[in-house]
Amino acid sequence: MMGGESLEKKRILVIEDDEVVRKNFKAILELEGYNVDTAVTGKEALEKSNANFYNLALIDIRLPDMEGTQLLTTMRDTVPKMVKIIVTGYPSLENAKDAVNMGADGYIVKPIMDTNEFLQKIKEHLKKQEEAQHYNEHKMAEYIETRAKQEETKETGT
Amino acid sequence: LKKRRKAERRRAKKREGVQPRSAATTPRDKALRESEAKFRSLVENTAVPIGITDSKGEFAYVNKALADSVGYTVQELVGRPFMDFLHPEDRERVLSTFMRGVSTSKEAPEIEFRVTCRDGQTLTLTSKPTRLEVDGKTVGFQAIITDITERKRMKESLRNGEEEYRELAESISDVFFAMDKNLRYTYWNKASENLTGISAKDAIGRSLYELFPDVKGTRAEEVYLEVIRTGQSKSFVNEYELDSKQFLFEISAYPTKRGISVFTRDITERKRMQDELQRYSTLLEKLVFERTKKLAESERRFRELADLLPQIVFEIDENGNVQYVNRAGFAATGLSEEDYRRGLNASDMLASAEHDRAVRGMRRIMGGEMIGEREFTVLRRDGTSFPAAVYTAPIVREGKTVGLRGIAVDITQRKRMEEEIRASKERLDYVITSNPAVILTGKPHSDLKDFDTAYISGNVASILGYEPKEFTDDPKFWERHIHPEDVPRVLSELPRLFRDGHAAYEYRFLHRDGTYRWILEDTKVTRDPAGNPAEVIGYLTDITERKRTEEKVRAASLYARNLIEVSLDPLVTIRPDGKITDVNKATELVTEVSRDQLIGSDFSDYFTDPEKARRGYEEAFVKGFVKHYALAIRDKSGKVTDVLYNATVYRDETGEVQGVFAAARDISERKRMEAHLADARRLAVIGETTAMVGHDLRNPLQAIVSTIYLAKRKLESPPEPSGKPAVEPGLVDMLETIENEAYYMNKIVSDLQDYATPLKAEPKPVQMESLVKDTLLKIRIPQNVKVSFKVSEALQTVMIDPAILRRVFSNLIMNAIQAMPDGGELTIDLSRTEEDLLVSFRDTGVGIPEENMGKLFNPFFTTKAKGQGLGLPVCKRLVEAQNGCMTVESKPGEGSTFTVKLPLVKP
Repeated sequence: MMGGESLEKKRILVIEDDEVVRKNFKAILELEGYNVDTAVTGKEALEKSNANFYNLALIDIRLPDMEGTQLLTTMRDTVPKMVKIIVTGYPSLENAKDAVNMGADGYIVKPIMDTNEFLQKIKEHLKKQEEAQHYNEHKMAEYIETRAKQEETKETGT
Repeated sequence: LKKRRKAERRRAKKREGVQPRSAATTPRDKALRESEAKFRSLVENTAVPIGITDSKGEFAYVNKALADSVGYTVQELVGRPFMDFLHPEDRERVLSTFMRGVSTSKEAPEIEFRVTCRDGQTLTLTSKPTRLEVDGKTVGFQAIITDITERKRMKESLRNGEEEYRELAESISDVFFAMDKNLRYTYWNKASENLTGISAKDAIGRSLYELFPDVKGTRAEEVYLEVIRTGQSKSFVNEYELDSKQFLFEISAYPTKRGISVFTRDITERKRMQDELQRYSTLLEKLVFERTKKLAESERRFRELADLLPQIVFEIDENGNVQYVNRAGFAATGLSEEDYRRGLNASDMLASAEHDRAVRGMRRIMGGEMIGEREFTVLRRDGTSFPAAVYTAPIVREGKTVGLRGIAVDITQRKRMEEEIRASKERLDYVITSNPAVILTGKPHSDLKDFDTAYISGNVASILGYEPKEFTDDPKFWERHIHPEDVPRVLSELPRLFRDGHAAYEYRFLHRDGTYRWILEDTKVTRDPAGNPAEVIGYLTDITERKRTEEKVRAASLYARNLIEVSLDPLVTIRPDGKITDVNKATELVTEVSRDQLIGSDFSDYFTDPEKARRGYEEAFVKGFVKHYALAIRDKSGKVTDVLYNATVYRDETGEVQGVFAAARDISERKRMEAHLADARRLAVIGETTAMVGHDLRNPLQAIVSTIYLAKRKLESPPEPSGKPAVEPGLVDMLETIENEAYYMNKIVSDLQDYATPLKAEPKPVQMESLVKDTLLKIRIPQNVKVSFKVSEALQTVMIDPAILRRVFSNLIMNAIQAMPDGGELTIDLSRTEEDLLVSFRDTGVGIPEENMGKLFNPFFTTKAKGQGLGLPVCKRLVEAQNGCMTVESKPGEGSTFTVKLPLVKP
């Protein structure tokens, strides 16, 4: 099974300090056909996200070396195009709002009881990302074409 | 642009060409080089600007002097065409002259030209360029340049100057001519032509003797020769007869470099005027003398008269100089005739602070203004001064104001009296106005029942807002403004005033601002010698403030008694022998004994422990107080109330102890509250703990749930080709059981979280019907439970937090389902009242026993074997957070109905 419609495997970074949870997330996502990388600390996550391309990151709100929100703010600048999903504990609305304000694309409540729903959510995010990219490419192509036409008329005009 | 680039390239080439120099090889070369070096150094250091151009006219060499004179550096000039620096107007001329010159000979004629310096200044230069030849071929031009800018400028200004003078000489109307040392005319102006009828053309070049043969031996000839000889200018007046008319000329001769110039002015008319003037002057003097003699006589008479006057009489001229002072003036100021003769000025006699005012006044008077008495401080010779009233009038001679004449009167005495009157008036005013009392006098009526106000002091306005006139003009004014309730009493006081001679009465008086003021009126009657009342004298004072204070004191004591009465704490006063002397209402209530019975009875009789009560008040008498003394009151019916006593002794004015004042505080409520508080604290601790536990549980829970997911996926995947044994059939069910339990754990944890963390509702408009439907969709309803949803009325939107309410609804639905383990019916009913929205959940389940109804919403209360007991408390809390409330009705064996009531948004 493939994670998205594209031929290439989507890359996901799981940032989680609990070993079992981290391993399970990786296994579950790999079963879905994603290419999954993991990071235990915020520092490691930053290093990895700077070195490699990831379509999406699951960020645990509490990490050993920093708050997930802090990591989020940093990554908003370093890897703006990566989809960033905050994984929070039993949430309050405030918590979730903060996360979104700080650049999270979404938030997921831990424990994730319904794994299928969780996978669906990730899939949707990735699809949205792909569409946005596609749209940008399309826009660019359109722009180039318009410009080319303009130039043409200019040439013939003079 | 192209041209410029080409020029740059050329210049670059040139610079390159200068550098490569092969080393000299022969001695001849060496000599030549040395000589060249010598020459070069000479040229370099000379102050004369020197430049060499190549055959195309571009600078090949310039020395520093040339560069400095035009403000460029040597490097900037080399390689640039000489023509670039020429003034544009000069270019063509210079070029053609130059070309003509150098084509015919080696040296061009001297050329004058202008160049533009770097700073924009223009210099005028001359040069004589020479052709440089090598083997008969022209290779360039050399020029030594002279700066003639200054010379040019000098010449120019000189020329301009000369012209100016010439024009001046022509335009002057006086005769002006110049001669050389041989008395030969070199200049002859227009006026000379006009006077003599000899034109300048005829005169210039001829000698004095040729034009005027008679001049020999005259004063004119003598003077001209003398000026030439001595070089000193000289003037004289000469008389001529021209056209049978006598003319007088003033002739001035000035030496010049070449001879003399002569300036002749016709002074015939001037002389005549002078003579005439002289004659008149003599005549006038004679007339004036006679007139003066007469005036002196009249003045003498006037002065004798003035000297008789006791006032100071004076005259001053327009500058303030004293022209006359009479005898009284001298006497008053201590000045002497001697001072007068030396010269006195009015300013010497006035205080310096008054000088400006005096000068201003003087100007006004001299300008024709009439000014009355003015006061000045006049100085005496000994430095003392006195005030004077001064009256002045202008002195007019021949229609012109030439000074002032005046009288000054010493007003020392008058001033002193004025000052005394002013001071005594001020004292009186002060006494009356600073006195808070309003003074009044009145005229008694003949019936001796009232009086009319004759005088009332001005400060009545500040007290009552009315002017004194209002009281004195209208006899009924006073009575009309007294408060109607006070009128009869006040009027009844008045006859007593006349009988006893004195009365004081208080009444309210209507202030202008509409409020009543309390007034104390104290009046006295003065009597005539016959003993009949002559006048009423009295004063009014505003006693509103005093009245108010009195009122306050009265109110305060009433208030204090009321406070004691209304106090919820039982209060008693006890005599040293233990008998009750006073009680309040609360004491009657707590003992169920009436006040009358309580007073005089023993205090200790009303307690469960009379001995302890007695010790309590005894302690208070000894120590002065007791605090938090615990006792229990027993009422008539035997009911016991726990109280704490605070008691203190109270004393009379002399400090003698009168008794003990004891206040009991009913603490039964407090005891209950303390129990509650302990509960709440326990809950808070539990809350904190559960929050922490809940948070820490999330990872293990996550691990369990995701492991189960992975295990299930593994089981679902097709068996491997190697053919592993088939999966144990019960395994999936077991995993499902674990999963369900994990779900349940999660619910416990999130319920705990909900209960432990503060709530913040975020209301938004919500359609209740769809909210209930949405909630139902998410819950797995067992087969044996039938759900019906009724909406009894179309409902508008409600402002609530949908997320919170969804949790409440799902909780209630789950509870209902759990209450019907054998199946049944769940009816959800949506309705409204005027103000509220009602959602009820009715099940046909086991119902709730009567004794459990009260504890239903307490945390950790549950009847379910597997309930954590937080579901309903959480719901209640969530609903209350939305300003709603929850109610329950239940009958065991028939079922329960939970109703959520939410306030509707006001339209």
